[in-house]
Amino acid sequence: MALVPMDPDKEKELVLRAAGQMDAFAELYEYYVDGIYGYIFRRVGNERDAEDLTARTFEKALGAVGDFKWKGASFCSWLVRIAANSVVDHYRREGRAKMVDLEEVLPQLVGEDDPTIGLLREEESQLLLRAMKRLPRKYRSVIELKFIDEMDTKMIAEVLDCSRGNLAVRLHRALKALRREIEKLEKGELT
Amino acid sequence: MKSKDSMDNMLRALDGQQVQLDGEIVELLQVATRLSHLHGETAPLDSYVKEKIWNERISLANRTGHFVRPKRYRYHIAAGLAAGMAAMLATVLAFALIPSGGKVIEKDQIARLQLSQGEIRVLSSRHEERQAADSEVISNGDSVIASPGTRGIVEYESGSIMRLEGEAEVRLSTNNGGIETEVIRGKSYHRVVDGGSYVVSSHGVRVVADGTAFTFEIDKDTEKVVSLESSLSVEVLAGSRSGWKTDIKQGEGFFYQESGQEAHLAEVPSQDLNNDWLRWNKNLDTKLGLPLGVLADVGEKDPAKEELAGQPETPAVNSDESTPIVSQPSEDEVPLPPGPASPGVEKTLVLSAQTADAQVSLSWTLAGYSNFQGFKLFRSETNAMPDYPDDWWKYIDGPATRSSVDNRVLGGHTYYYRLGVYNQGLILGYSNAVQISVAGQSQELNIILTASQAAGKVNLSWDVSGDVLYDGFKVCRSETNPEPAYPAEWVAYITGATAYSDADVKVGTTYYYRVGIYRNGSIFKYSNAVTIAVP
Repeated sequence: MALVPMDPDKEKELVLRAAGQMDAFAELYEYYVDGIYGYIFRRVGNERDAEDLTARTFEKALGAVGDFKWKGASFCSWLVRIAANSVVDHYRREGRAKMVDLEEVLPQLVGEDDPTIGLLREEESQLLLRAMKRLPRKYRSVIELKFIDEMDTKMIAEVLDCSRGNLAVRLHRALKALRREIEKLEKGELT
Repeated sequence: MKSKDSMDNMLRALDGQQVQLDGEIVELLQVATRLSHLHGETAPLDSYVKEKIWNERISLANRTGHFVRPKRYRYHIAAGLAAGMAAMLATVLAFALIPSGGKVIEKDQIARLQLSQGEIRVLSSRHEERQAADSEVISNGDSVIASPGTRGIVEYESGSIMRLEGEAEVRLSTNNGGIETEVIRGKSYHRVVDGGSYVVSSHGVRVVADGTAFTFEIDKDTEKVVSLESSLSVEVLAGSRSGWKTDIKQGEGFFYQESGQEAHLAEVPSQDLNNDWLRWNKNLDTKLGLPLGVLADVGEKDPAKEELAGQPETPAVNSDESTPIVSQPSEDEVPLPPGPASPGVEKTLVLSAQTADAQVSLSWTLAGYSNFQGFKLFRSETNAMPDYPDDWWKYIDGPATRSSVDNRVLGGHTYYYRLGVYNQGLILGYSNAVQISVAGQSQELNIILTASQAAGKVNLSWDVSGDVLYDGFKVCRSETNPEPAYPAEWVAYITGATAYSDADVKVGTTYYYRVGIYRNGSIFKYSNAVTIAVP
């Protein structure tokens, strides 16, 4: 499920209460758990790890919610950053990659649920994924957040801790780089 | 270079708004349209799983106690067919996409079991149980269950070794070529070869090791990891300190208590290592020519047994309910278990304190205790009944010791002390608590942070003045928050130094930094914030 931020006023009210009142935290958990699980699942690719890391994300959030400050970023994007760190820790523990961080986690595609789409869609997906894997990490990560996690650009900027202007430049460059890689693949310049 | 408006319009278009776009942006958005095919719609979590995560992880992390959610947030168990299908496809794709750093191990043999003494059963991942023979093959997902009095050796394909003693249960698996051992109960000793991934975990603790030797033990509700040779990394998996990580040096132990959901790190007294279990491991490692680390100092015999042989044993039952016993040692884990309760032998431990010259002198008397290693002294400024594991403590060696001096105190401060009788990782009984005020003026605590940048690094240093006792410093950093805070924004934990060089910075970025003085799991004073640009 895509992560959609809660109504800001309601979210703020719940977050302010959540440090001391578990019913407020429960409501935040209820609203965000599926989105956070989806974000993690798309990066670890199996239910068991995704469930464990989802639990860890909310455990950490519960421990730190009292320190959460409203500095222009939503609680939702703060949760995603905790989830991203949990994924990074997971990869590091599993020894799958060295010095992994959010930008280094490779995208993992969750399958199309429409069985009629068929091979053309699959070939297209494989082409795009191959092209994406050739991109620098910082470009790949911004594309993942936008097109795989389907976050809006405000939230992506919060998650990546960058300005809207920086995000625009990064996305622009990422799409241009991706277009180049797709063209190379389509022309058969890359095997 | 595109104009600011043009770029902003691109973002708006990506968010689905109707905006005017120039030609190149339109072409790029056509690429974006193709990418939209990739969007991964993940099925929501099964309601049973949501409930389980909440009840078993998050509620437990809430130290105020078990929380029962309002009725409208309770879940009903439901079949998760869609989730299952998505999971299956994702797993297939994940394996196709993730570049594996290690060899792929099929679901087959991962280790062999050598039975030294006793009886071991093997429970397969298909829940088929069998009696283990010597040289029994252990497959991925098998559980090894040792009966009381057993000693067994698991030899992994990678060359790493695990030894078990007593009533122990572990589950063995591989993950991307690495070894994962889940300790369910009992004692285990791990000798890990260099290279590859070797992870040992329990409910509350996860150890990542490489080229080292350590023990992992679950004793009632305490999970204990002791590094015997070289160092290893430990992480707390549950409770209020979930996510807390630290390295354990050779000779140090990491203790996690399930009931209190607390964890701490401490040097392990050499007496704790001098037991039959570790002597057995030492002898085997010596024969294999492996480095012994702190086991090199372990003798051939238990000196405590020899010294105390013939002494009458006394009860371990604390007669005073107001001074609770944390846990009683079990018979198979303590070389000299306390004897049965003897009516008429009352246990007492009376602590007194005096202060002079900016230190506190403590002395005590005791009666009724025997067969113990020493004492633990607990101190707090806020808790009138200082206790393990929340409060500061130090180990005082030797059962004959009757005094100690605490010079880590500050003038103008008031402290509470309690003493515990200590044996083999357990507190057998507590003293009364004493309160004492140290003469002098309290000085205001201050920490001043300064920063500079050079060669693509940000160099931070800080001065601490005033009254402060601390564990270390948390360096916090943000690109957007002028007052970065722990734990969401910390990047480094510094002990034994007042400087840090941050090389993980990006050119053309401005950073905000603060350093927090860290003690007992939280920050109690932040430095000034500094802003520094990396050109």
